Amino acid sequence: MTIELSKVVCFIMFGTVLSTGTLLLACSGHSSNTEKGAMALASTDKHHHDDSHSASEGYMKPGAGVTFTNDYDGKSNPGVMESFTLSAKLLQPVDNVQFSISSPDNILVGGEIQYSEVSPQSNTIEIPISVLSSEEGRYYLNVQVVTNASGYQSSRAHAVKVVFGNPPAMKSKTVHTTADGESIVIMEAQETISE
Amino acid sequence: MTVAVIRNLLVFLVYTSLVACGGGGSSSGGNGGNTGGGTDPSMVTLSGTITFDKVNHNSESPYGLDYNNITQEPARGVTVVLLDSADNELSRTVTHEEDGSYSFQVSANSTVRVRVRAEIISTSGAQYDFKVTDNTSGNSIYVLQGSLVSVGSADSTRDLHAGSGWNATTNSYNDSARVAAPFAIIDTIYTTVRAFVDVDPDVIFPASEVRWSTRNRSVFGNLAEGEIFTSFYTSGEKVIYLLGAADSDTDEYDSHVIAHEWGHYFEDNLSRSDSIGGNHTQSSKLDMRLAFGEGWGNALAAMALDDSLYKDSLGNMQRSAISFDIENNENLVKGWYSEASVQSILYDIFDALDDGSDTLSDGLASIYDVMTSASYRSAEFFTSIHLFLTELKSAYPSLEIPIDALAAEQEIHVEDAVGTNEANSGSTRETVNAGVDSPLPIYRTIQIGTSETVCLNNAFGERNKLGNRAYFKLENVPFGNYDLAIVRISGGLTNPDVFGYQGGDIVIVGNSSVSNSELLVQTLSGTYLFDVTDSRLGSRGINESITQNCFSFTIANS
Repeated sequence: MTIELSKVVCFIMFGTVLSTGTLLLACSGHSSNTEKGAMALASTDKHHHDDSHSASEGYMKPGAGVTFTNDYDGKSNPGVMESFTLSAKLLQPVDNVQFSISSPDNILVGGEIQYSEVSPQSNTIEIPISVLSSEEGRYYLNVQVVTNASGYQSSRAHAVKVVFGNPPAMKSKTVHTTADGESIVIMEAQETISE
Repeated sequence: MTVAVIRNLLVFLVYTSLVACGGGGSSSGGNGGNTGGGTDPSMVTLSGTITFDKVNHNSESPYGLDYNNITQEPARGVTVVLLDSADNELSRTVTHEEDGSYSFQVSANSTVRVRVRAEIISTSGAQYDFKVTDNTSGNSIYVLQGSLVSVGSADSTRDLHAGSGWNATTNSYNDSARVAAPFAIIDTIYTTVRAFVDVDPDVIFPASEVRWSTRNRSVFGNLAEGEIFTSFYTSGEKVIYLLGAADSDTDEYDSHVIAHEWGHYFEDNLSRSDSIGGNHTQSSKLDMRLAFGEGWGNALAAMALDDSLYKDSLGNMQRSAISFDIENNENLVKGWYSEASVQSILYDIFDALDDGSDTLSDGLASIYDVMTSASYRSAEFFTSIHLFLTELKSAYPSLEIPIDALAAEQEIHVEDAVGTNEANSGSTRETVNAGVDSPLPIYRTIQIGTSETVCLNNAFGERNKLGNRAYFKLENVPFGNYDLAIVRISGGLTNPDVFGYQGGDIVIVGNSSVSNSELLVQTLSGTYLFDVTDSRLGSRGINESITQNCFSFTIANS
C-alpha cells in the first residue's frame, strides 16, 4: 500500500487491556494511488453491497456521500493483533472530510481516532487499522464521517464488524409465543396501579 | 381446548368497554367485544393511560438528542390487550387518539394483566395496519407489558409507561430497557398516517411494519443480526428498517427519518416511484428520479410532523445530527436534479407560510390527489418534478401561475413532463471548461435504424448523479426483434448498461459485465424509455479531472 508519509497521522493508543478489552492501533493516511484504492475496494468487505449493475440501489436515508469497504478477512485470533484497511470512497467532490472511529460501548480501546483531510485529492481515503482482543467475541467499530461541500455539512455512520475466535452465535432475545401462536418481544412497563 | 373455545367461554365473564377514538380505529380480534356492563355490580372498570418517553432534539445546532429534554407522550391509537392469568386474551381495544387512555369492563376480583402492542390498526373507514417488530428476533412484534394483578372489587387504574432506558448517571443506554423506542416509532407513523386520513377518510394502506432493534447497525450483512447498513424502505419486503445502535446511529426519535422512509412506502404502495436509489445529499446534483423521491420524502416529513427542520441524530451519545430546513428556498443546488429544490417546492405548496415566491397554502390534498392519480401512476415518463408539477397544474389549473413561480425560484421551467425548454443544465465553469456535454434535453428521441451519440460524465459523482445517465424515448415501435447496441466511441475503460421501461415498469435489463459495449436482442412493441449508463464510471476527487465517456446507442431491426 502506498501512503504519503507526510500526510500520515498515526495514532497509537494503548489502553488498559481489560479481560474483554480491545487494543486498537490506527494510522490514518490518504492514498496517493487511486488505482490501489480501487483495488482495495474490489477485494474488501464480503458483505459489500455492490449494486453498480442494478437499475436501483434501493432507498437510503439522506447522508454524506461516502461509502466504506475494508479488506478485513472476517476472522481474527484472540491475543493476535489484526491489521486491515478501511477504505472510504467519496461519491462526489467535497471540500473537506472528517472521520471519527471509536470502539464499541464499554470496551476500552484508548479513545477515538480522529482524521480529517482538506480538499481530498483522491476519491478514496484509506485508513489502516489494527485491533487486538484477548477474548473471543464479536465487536464493532463505529465510524462517523462528516463532509463539507459548498458550505453544506452532511454526515453518515458506518460500522465495522471484527470477530475474534469463534464466538457463539449472537444470543437471541427471549421471544415469547402467545396463546394464538404469535411471537412477541415483551418489554416490561413502568406500571402505576391505583384505585 | 382451543383458543376460540376459551374466548367463547370468557365472553360470558368479561365485558369490555371500547374507548375508541376519532380515527383510532376499532376493536378487532373477535373476542369479548364492546358489550358494556357498567351498571353490573359484578363488573369493575379497569382504565388507564399508556405513555412513552420521547427524547427530543436539542433546540440548537447541531440538533442531536437532548437527554435533558425527555417528555412523556401519550401512546395514541395503539392496541391494548387484556390477558388472564393463563395469558389468554380477554379483550382488546385501542388507546384514545389524544391522551393515550384506555378502558375495560372486567369481572371483579379477576386477575389480569395489560399488554400494549406497538401497532396501530384501523379496519373501518381509513384502513391501516402498521407495527414495529424486531428483525433480530424473527420479526416479532414489540409489546409493553404490565403485571398480573387482581383488579379487586372496585374500579382501578393501571398506567403503563415505556421508558427510554437512558441512564443519566452513566450517560448511556441500557439497551434492554429501551422500551420507549418502538412506541416512539409507531407514534410517528400514526402522525403521518393521520395526515393522509385527514385528506382521504377512506384511504386504504397495505399492511406494513417498521423493523427496529438496538442491534441495527450501519454495516452490510445479515438483516437478522442487525446488519442493515442504514435506515431504509425496501420495496421487496415492503417494510422499513431503522437503525438502533447506540453511539453509532439511532433513529427511533428521529421522526423526520421515519416519516421520510414512510414516504417511500407511500410512493411504492399508493403512488409510484422510479427512483434508482442510492446515496444522496442536499448538495448533490442527482438523477432526477432520485431527486424527486428523496425531495418528496423530506417534504412529507415536514408536512406530516408540522416541523420543517429535518433532524437526524447520530454519533457518540447521539449528540451529532444532520439537519436542514425544508422551508429554505435558498438552496445551494437548485434545479430539477436537486432534492432540495423538490422539497422546497412541495413544502411551499403545502404550508401556510408564504415566503419567497410562495403564495400557496394548499395543504396535502392536491399533492395527495396527484400522487395517487391514475394519470400520474401510469405516465409514460419517469417520475420527476417536471412530471409531478405538470400533473398538478393539469388537475388544478388555478394553481398554474403560483406553481410556475415556485418552480422558477428553484430555477426549474415546467411546461410538460419531459422538461421542454428546460434551460437549467446544471453546468458549472468546471464542466464547461472540461467540455462536458449538457444533460439537456432531458429526454432524447431514438429511432429504429439510427444511431445516437450519448456522453456520460462523473462531474458530480457516480452512479446516481446528474450526467451519469441519459434518457431516450423510442416511440411506437412495431412488434419484432431488435438489436440494441451501446458501444464506446471515446473515453477510458467503460461498462455501458441499458434499462428499458414501459409505464414506469422496467422491462429490459442490459447490464452485462462486458467492457465497452452492451449488446442485446429484444422483442419490442410500443413505446419505451431507455436509461443508458456506465457502471464503471467512478467518482473523482475534488481536484481530479472530469471523466467523460461517449457511446453510440443504436436500435436496429434484428
